[in-house]
Amino acid sequence: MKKSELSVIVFMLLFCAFFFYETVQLPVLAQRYPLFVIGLLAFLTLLKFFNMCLAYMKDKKIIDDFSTVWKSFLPKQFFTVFLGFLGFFGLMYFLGFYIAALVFLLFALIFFKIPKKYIVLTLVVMLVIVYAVFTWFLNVPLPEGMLIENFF
Amino acid sequence: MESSYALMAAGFVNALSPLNLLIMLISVTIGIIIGCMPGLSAAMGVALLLPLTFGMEPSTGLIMLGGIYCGAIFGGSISAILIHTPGTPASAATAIDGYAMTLKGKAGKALGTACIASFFGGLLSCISLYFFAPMLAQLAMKFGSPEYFWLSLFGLTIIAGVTTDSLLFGLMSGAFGLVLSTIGMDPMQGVERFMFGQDALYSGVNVTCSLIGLFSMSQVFILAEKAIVKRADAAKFDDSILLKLSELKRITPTVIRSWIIGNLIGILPGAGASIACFIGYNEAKRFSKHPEEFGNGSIEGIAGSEAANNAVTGGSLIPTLTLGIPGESVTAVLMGGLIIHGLQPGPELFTKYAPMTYTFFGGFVIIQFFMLALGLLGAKIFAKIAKLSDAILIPCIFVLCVVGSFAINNSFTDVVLMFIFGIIGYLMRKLNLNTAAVVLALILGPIGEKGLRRSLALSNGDISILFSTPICIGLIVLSLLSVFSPIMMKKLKKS
Repeated sequence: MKKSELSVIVFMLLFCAFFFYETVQLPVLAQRYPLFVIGLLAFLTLLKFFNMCLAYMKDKKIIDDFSTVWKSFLPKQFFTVFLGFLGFFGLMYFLGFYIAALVFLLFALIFFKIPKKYIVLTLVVMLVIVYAVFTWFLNVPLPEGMLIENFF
Repeated sequence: MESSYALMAAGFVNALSPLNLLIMLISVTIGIIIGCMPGLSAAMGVALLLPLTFGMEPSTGLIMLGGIYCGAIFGGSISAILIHTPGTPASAATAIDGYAMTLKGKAGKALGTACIASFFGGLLSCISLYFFAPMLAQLAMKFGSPEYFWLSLFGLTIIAGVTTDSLLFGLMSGAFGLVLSTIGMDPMQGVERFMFGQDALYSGVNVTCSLIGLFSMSQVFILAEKAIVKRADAAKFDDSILLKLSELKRITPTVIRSWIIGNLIGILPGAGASIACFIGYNEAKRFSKHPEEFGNGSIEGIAGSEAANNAVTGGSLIPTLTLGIPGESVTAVLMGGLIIHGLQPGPELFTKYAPMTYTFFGGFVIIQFFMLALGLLGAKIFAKIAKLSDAILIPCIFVLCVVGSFAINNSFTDVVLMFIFGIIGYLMRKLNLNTAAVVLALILGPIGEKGLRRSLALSNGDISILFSTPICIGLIVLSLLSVFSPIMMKKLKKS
C-alpha cells in the first residue's frame, strides 16, 4: 500500500462527501444523476481501497513513496514562481495585462538568471505576439487594470 | 457517392485558400517547435493555442489545430535524432536508431528519413480518414439517446483504461471528471447545481479553460518544480538530408506496413502514437533483411517508427469526428475545439456541416506537404530552437495560458478557473491520475447525461430502454471489454 495512493483515496472520498452533501440540498428529481456519478466515483474509490488493502494483507507494508513522488520538487523555486503567478493576477487586476505581463516576465527571467540579451528578446517577442494575436487579430479587450481605468 | 467526390473536391479547393495555406504554414511550424522541445507535448500545444481559433472559420480553426497536431508528432523526432531526447513520447522509438545514426555522422540522413516517413505515414492516413469516417458516421446516424449514453461511457472507459498504469485510477479520474461535469444548470430540471453563486458556471465548467489548465498550466507547474537543466547541444550535421532512390525503395515496404499499423492503432480509441511508434519499429525489425542494423542506426527503424506515429493522426480523427470518442489526449483537445465552434462530432459533420468537414480533410492532406517541406528545409533551425531553456518557457507559457483563457469570454473568472484546473492537473499527474480522462468526462459527461435522462424520460423511468437495441448491447460489450482487456492482457503476459 502506497501512501500517495492512500492520499488519493482520502481526497476522492472527501470530494464525494462534499458533493453528496451539496446534492441532497437539490430538488429530488435533480438529485438522481449527480448521485449516480458520485456513487460511481465512490464505488471505484472504495474498490481501489479494497485492492490496496488486499495488497497490504499480503505485504504488511505501507510504502512511504512521497519521497519518490516529490523527488524532483524544489520548494523554493516552485513557490517563488507560484507567488509570481499570484502576483501577476493581482497586477493584472490593478494595472492591466500588459504591465503585469512585462513585470512578471522580467521577474521570472531574472529569477531564473537568464542573460540580459535573452530577457530583452523574450520580452519583445512575447509582448509583440500577444499584441498581434490577441489585441490586433482577435480583438480581445485585455484588462486595462482598475487603477489605469480610473485615472485615465 | 458522386456528391461525396464533389464535397472532397470542393473541400480541397477551400483548403487551398491563401488564408488556410498561411494558417497551415504557421501551425505546422508552431507544432514542430512544440514537438521538438522535450517537455512540451502535442496536447499541451493544441490546448494552449485553441483560443487563437475563436476568431476563425471553424474549418480554418480545425486546420490550425490539425497542423499543430501533425507538426508536433513529427517535431518530436528532431530532438530524438539530434539530442537523443524524444520531444514527445511518440518519437521514443525514433531515438534508438536516429541518435545512433547521428553518432555515426549521418544525422541529416536520419532527419530526412524521419521526415519522408512521417510525410507518407500522415498522407496515407488521410485515405482512411476520407473513406472510413463517412462510413462510421452512417452508423452513428442510427444512434438515439440510449446509444449516446453508452457511447459516452465507452469513450470514458477506453481512455481511462489504456492511458494510465492503474486501471482503477484511470476510471476514477473519469468518474471525477463526470462529477465535475454536473456543475452548472441541470439540463432537464433547470436547477442550479454546485454553482456556489458563480454565474460564470451557469453553462458548466468551461471546457477550454479546463483543457488549458489540465494540459498547459499543469505542464508549467511540472517544469517549475524541477531544477532547470541545460539541454544538450544538438548535433551539427553536414550530410545530405535527401534520400537516395535505393534508400527510398528500402524504406517503402516499412512505411506501408507502419501506415497500416499506425492507422489501425489510431482508429482504435485508447491507443495512440506513443504505442504505434514502438509497434511500427518492432515490425520493421521483424520484417527487415538487415535486423542487425537495428539499434546501430537503421533507416528502416526510423521509418518504421515515424510512419506509424504519423499514421495515427488521421486514424485517430475517425472515431473522434464520427462518434465523439477521442482516442488520445490530443484528439480529446481537438474535439474540445470542435465543440467550442458549436459543432458536435457525429453524422451532422458529414451532412449539415459536410463542406466544413471536407475542407478540414483537404487541409489535413496539405498539412502533410507543409510538414515535409518545413522538415526538410528547417530541421537545422528547429534543432536550435529545441535548446530553448525551460526557464524561458515557464513564464512564456504561463502568460499564454492566462491570455488564452481570458480570451474565451473576456472574463477574469475563466483565468481563475484555468489556474485551478492547472493545480488539479499538476497534482493528478504527480499522483499518477489521468488528466485526459477528466477532460473527456467534461466533454462526454453532458452528452451521456442527456442521453440517460432523455431515455428514462421517454420510457417513463424504465431502465430496460438502455438495453433495448443491438447497438446498445454492442457498446456495453465494448465498454466491458475495454475495462477488462488491460487486466486480461496483464494475465496473459504473466502466463
